[in-house]
Amino acid sequence: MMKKSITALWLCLCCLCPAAVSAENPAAGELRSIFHSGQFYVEYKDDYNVRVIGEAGGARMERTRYGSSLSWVTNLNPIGNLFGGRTPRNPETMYKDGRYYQFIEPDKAFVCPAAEAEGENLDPRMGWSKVKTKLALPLELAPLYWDDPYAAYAKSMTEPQFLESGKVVLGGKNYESDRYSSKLKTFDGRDADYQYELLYLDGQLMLARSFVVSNGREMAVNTLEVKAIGSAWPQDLFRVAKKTKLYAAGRGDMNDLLEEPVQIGILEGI
Amino acid sequence: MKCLLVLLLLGLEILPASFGEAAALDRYRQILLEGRYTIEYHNITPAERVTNRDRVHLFGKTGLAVAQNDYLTNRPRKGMIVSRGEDRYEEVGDEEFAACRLTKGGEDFFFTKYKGKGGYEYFGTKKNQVTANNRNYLAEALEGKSYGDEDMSRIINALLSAGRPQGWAQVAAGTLAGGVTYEDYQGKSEDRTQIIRCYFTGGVLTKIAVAEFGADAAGNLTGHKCIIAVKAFTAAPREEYLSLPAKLADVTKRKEAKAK
Repeated sequence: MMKKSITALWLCLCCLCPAAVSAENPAAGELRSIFHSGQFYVEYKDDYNVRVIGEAGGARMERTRYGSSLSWVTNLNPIGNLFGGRTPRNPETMYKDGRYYQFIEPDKAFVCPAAEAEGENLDPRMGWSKVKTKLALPLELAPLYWDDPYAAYAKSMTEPQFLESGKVVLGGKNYESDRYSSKLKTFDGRDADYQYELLYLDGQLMLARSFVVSNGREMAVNTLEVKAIGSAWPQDLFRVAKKTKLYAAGRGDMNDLLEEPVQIGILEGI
Repeated sequence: MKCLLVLLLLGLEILPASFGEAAALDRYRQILLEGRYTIEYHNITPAERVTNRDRVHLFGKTGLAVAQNDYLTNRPRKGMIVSRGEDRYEEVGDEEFAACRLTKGGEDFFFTKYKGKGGYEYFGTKKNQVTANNRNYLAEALEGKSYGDEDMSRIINALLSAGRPQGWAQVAAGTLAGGVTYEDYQGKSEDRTQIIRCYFTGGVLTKIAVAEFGADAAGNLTGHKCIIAVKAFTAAPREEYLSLPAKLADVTKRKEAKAK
């Protein structure tokens, strides 16, 4: 009799007070398979800039639209073309067939073979050694695609482990949150945590936040607003001018000194 | 009196190299750990060549503009760091131009200042306007606080680590001509030799010299040297630098959803 009522009470309590849900949002699994599929695109906003990263057919490219009060003018295509410069859908950097591309104008790009991107004769102001990490997904999305071949993580950073899910209220909206944690070693040998929080609304990833947790303090690092993640690219996600001239990356020779780069080919679309 | 005795003994090399006596750098380490200080220094190392266009800037085929080239050799960089707890101001540049960062209230403000005809002109995102960025807590956790330029940051973080098991260790101390004393610290890297020498005049830190060399993966000897002249290192923060200059307006759009 006693046992039954205790069991009944215990069952009641289990139903009334759910423990911290220890399962990831099902949308995380779908997003992971999108990233691992070899064709995806991500559009997100990072405080002031909107970035699009896309991968298809072994090539990866990205573009950034820098926030400014006049960007709405240049983003209207006809007007943007009048003012010259980059139209909003041109990629800025690209990796394709073993070479890195940096587009400096809609129809001009510098090319450097990936194996030579760390060469000491390259102009450091072009930043060829940083192009690879520019193409990587932002750190806030690492729990969904940790083994991104373009990402470079700090040596002591471990793969994010799922901590717990919960609910977060931000800006009047109720998000379902998943928290992950990576371990870090600080510069003075202490342990710290880098925590990721992915916020979903109706099964859609809306926000990705990151925190450094060290010495008992949680410090917010970044908040990303995810605008779109998908597998098939929308029409015209990246636009490359029909006959983009390709130039060899400057290596400190006479062409580099006189700023007359050598043309090595033409890119006919991507 | 005790200082004089220690100096004499070290000079005569009567005492073995044991560092039971407080190192002259301890006082400065204490100031850094307390978090309220002003440091002013000149990085007087001649800069290494970065590109083959270091000394000349050719425009078109007929112009030669030395004043416009990006990396001039033998131009000392001046740095200043003011810290009061979590608020921090760093400035690196020279009299004509300086890049500045103010960390206040968990936000970073980056701006540059130029010497104009009527005083300084400030440019943040635009002239006289600046927007706040998130403070880079990840970089601070992984690499420590920044102290002006990269040379000074590495030096100060290395000296702060002296006394920790994996940190730099004091390996020598001595006296030079003119009453200048020095202390040597060595890093614990396996494949590179790293030494920092701090020079003191009457217990006041005046100069820091760094030498670092080793063989890289291909067997070539690579190295780096650095000489810093310390102009001021006091425990009194200069309050006037810990707020945005009057001419610079903060135009950050602060969202309610911004995580703090």
